[in-house]
Amino acid sequence: MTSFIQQATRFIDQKIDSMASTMAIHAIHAEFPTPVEKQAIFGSYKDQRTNLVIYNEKALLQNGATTAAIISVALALFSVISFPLAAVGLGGSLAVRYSISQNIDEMLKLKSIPAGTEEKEEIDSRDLKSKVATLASRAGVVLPEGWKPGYAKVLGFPLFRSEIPWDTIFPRSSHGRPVSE
Amino acid sequence: MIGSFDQTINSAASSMAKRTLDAVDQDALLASHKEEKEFLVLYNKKGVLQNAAVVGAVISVALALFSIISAPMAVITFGGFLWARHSISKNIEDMVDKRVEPINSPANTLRGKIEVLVSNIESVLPSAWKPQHSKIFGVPLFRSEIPWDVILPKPNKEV
Repeated sequence: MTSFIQQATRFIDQKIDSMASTMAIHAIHAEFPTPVEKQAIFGSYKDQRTNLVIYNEKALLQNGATTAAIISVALALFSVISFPLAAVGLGGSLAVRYSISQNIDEMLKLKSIPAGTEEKEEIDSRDLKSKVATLASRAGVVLPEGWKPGYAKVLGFPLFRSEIPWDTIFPRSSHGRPVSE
Repeated sequence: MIGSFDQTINSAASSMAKRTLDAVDQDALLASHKEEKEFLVLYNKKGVLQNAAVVGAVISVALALFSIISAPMAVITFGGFLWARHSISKNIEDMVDKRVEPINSPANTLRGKIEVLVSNIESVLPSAWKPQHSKIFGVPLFRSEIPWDVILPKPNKEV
């Protein structure tokens, strides 16, 4: 185990050295592209100056790792905070959706027809499409043939409620102007 | 509670429906079946509200899934980068020690050691230069660069 750790540490050290050296070569070459310029600037202290450049490049690597660690902490904190928020949001949204759905169902019960009558019971027992079609027909509107009350099914359950097409409620002429009744 | 929420839904849908109906040519379109058409508009608007709630729920599910996946990933990444930082830091300390020790320098701080290395190239570190900066709880987060004009002193030329 100890030997493995030593080997891993040596391997990582070699990688760090290699990366820093490559970065240093690139940095020096970018600034001093010709050998003459390099000789002029590095002079007789070539090795010592190169080592200091490598020091700077390793510092850059360390600072990069530190920045990434800080970003990871921020992400972890965000995740820890956002999970309960998401759970509350999901519960709230579902409750709101259920309430609105109930509200719409209640709205679709024709209050103009007295409760307890056969007609009322018959209408209330219909599916949603039939109820909407009945209400539409009372407004002199005919629903399009393929219209469905819900869409985007997940596990057979429609997620979204379809609109009654606006053109059906308020018909327009071919010029886009409202057609008077 | 439920009753008051129903009222809120009705009121929101009504005001949305009113805006739509206001934009419609009242005389032409609402001459007959006015109430029934208003009812259909109200139905549509409540549908919009319900769909918005579904979108909210879908976003919440996505956020919850993201949180569940990202939290352990962030912890692992944090550990990885902390370890990488430690390895690089140790590598730098070793590198500096390896260069300074043969000189038999009495310097025992990082700044002292860097000063020795800089003096080897007949240069001088600025007096205000610190080897590390941005302390949090007394622990410096970042390592400072040795100023480039100290390493490669040349007028109008910086690496």
